[in-house]
Amino acid sequence: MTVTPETLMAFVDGELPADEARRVAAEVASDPKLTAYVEQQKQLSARLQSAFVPVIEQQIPERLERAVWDTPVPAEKNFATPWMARLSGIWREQTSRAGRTWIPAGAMATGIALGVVLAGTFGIGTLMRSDGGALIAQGELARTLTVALASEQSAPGAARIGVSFWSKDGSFCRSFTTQGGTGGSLAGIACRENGSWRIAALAATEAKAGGGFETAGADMPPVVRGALNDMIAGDPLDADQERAARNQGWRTQ
Amino acid sequence: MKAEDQLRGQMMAVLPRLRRFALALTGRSADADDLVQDTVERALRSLSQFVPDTRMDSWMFRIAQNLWIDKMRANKVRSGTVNDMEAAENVAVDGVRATEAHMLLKSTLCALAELPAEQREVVALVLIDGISYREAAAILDVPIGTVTSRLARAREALSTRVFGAGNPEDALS
Repeated sequence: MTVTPETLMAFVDGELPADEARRVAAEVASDPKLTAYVEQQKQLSARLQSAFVPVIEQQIPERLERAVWDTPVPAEKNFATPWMARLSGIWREQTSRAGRTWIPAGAMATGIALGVVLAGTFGIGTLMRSDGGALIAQGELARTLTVALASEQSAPGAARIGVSFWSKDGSFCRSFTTQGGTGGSLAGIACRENGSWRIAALAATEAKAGGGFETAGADMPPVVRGALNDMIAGDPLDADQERAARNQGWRTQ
Repeated sequence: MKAEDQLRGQMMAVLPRLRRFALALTGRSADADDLVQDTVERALRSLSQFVPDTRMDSWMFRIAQNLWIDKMRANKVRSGTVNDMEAAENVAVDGVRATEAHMLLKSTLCALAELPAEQREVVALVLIDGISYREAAAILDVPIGTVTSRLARAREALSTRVFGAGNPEDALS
């Protein structure tokens, strides 16, 4: 056998890149002992998780909720970071410009509050979901992010790719726009993370007359463009690099 | 909305998972919620140290883990195993009334209590919360290799306990 115990465990935990996972899966399938082992280890995780389901579903005790909202934040250390400055600027922009809502990149880390805002305002539950505190692309948006090439997009679907690039922290990221419902359209950046597309920046814009998309970047909201400039390492991928990245499943090596 | 309230909202969203993490570590719901409360207060008092555009959940898990280690050291429990019988008797999970669910949780907490603390942390993060090896390594401030070796030992110990005497490593020999 060629599968090491370490690799097998990483396989069980979903930590292997797609092609290696396929290779290991084939090997596991052909060996009853390995199959039994993998099955047992999956059961172990499932049992652990199911044991804690009641804890996750419990109502948060009031004292904890109070701690979150009432614990004072020291005033002298009041968010001197560029990000917070940007965030407050963004919210100012939102409140001063009716009809537009900027959703800051930093807020993507939240689940509940943002989910309510997004689902309520844009009805985008079909394109993104909240997962473990992050916002993850799904449905047509996830499909487009995974397969579409910026250079070869024909009929506008629900989502459209702008530019693809390497981020400074070493993942593949792609800017996108989505065809919104009646409320408008969304523009954002998604980065490949553990086999999904994590939304790293998102902004909502007014619907374009006629519902069409403009060329990449041309209608990118300033907030998303700013996030892109902060994140990008070097130049965007050219058509060949983008194709190669896609064909390798957006894996970072 | 104030930026600060945004971050408080993010913390609220993390609380259910943080409570689960704390319970997996401490084994007692009262201790777990004390730990969560300490974590929230510490996080808010040092909110300026939160690195922008990083994950609030990982940051809070890391604070919780550090506080827990501190508390264990203060109690001189160190990173050894918790006495099993003591843990079993102290397991009390408020609000979980369904008997079957309660028994499963109780037996799971006992199994976790038998693990060394450093393995329990990894199990709580990777197996129970589903956090990636890389993120777990960042939270615990250890190399990924340390995460995987602790996880392998913990899986072996838990498998033996949950599935009986069969050594899972047999399958690999």
